[in-house]
Amino acid sequence: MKRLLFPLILFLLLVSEGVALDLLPSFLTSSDTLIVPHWVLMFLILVCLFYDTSETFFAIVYGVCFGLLVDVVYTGVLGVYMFIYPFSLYIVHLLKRFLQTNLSMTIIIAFITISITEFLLFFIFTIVDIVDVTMTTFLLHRLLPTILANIIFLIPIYLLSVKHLHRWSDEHFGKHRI
Amino acid sequence: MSFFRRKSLFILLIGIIVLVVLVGYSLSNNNNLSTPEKFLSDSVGWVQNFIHTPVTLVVNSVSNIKDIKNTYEENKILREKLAEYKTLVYEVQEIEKENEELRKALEIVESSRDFEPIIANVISRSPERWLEQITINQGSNDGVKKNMAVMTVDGMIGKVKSLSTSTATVQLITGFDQLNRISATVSREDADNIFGLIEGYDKEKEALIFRIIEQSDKDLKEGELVVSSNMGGLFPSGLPIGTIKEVQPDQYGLTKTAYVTPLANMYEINHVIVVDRSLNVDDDTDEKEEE
Repeated sequence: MKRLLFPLILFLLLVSEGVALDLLPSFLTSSDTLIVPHWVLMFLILVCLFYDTSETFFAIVYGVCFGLLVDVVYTGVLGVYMFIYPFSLYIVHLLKRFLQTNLSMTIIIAFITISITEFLLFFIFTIVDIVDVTMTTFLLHRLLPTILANIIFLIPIYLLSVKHLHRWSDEHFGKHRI
Repeated sequence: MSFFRRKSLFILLIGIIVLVVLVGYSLSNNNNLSTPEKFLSDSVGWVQNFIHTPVTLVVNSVSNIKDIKNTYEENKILREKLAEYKTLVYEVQEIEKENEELRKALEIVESSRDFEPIIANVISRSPERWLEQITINQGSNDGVKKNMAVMTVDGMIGKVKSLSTSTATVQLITGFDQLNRISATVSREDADNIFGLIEGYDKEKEALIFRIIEQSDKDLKEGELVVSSNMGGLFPSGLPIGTIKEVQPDQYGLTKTAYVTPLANMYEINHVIVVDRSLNVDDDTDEKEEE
């Protein structure tokens, strides 16, 4: 049952990303600023920081699966999120060794991760000719609001889930983790 | 450590190869979903529907309370409209009868204006905002087909991009590009109709780009209504698209480009109508049109 919990949470986040954008009041969504919810990625960052040990790669494996799911359901261009999510999560995995894991550090890591993700998205979508925007509009109208909105989302789920993630991790890998 | 680095580099390279292969596959595949993709979008769509329904109920009841305040005013206006409507119904009946008789005389049975509507609800919008896609809760089982026009009560919003059995993805006209053009016309009472193509969306002007073809008249005025035409062979004619906002000559001065404000609000879409063209067009011609 425990094994199903992560996929279930991630799946619900994935589904609500799409539904939320449809239901949000239109003054939030209709302006020039594009806020992209990366809720799945946010939760995976927490999994990577607080559940994975330095030798396990659960977050990255989930990143591959749910990245593919985002591609299939929301974009129709396969492989993009499937590549980008695990790539940015691997960087989280590397950063984890050098940084302490508390709320402020998590926010900084999330900041870095979202920036990498968004830049890669911009890069790949520009190459395949799906979007045609300049760097400055991308930075101002998409990157900044997206980072802000996702960090606002991250803080409550951090507070809700960190204790549980620690406990599950202890149960799963034993107390002597590195 | 060096082994570990080499291993991760190796995985990265495989990742990039997989990325290129998958992106190439999905871009070349012309939006036909494979069976696992259909299965996944169906199951996600089912859950989205499940979540969406109670939430909309709550949202709607809140807005209903707001509506009650305006009821009296609205009622007055509607009463006036209704009086006008009665005479209009009579006129339309007469015209319809006449039209039918004339058609019989000309031996044309089907009109390109007829369409069969399929009513659908929007269940989600793509979080990847660059793509401008929405998902609706009717799919191939309900008779939706690829490239059908999708509209709200206000006007046209897009066309069906890909299909699974119980959901469909709609590409909004704000996300259209050179490959997804719609032929459109401005109809005139006293002069020739103006023909052109809706070729994309200008994000800064917040308007659709309507390129007028060379041969037709170019003296557009602001505020004129642009409707779809059946010249492209995809959509029924007469679906309202938007009103003219601004007209500009292009850089060589040969054609003119008009900017069209869409009639429908692209950000508050709840119920949509998928419009089937009841005139039978061969699938071959459709495909040629796309290329």
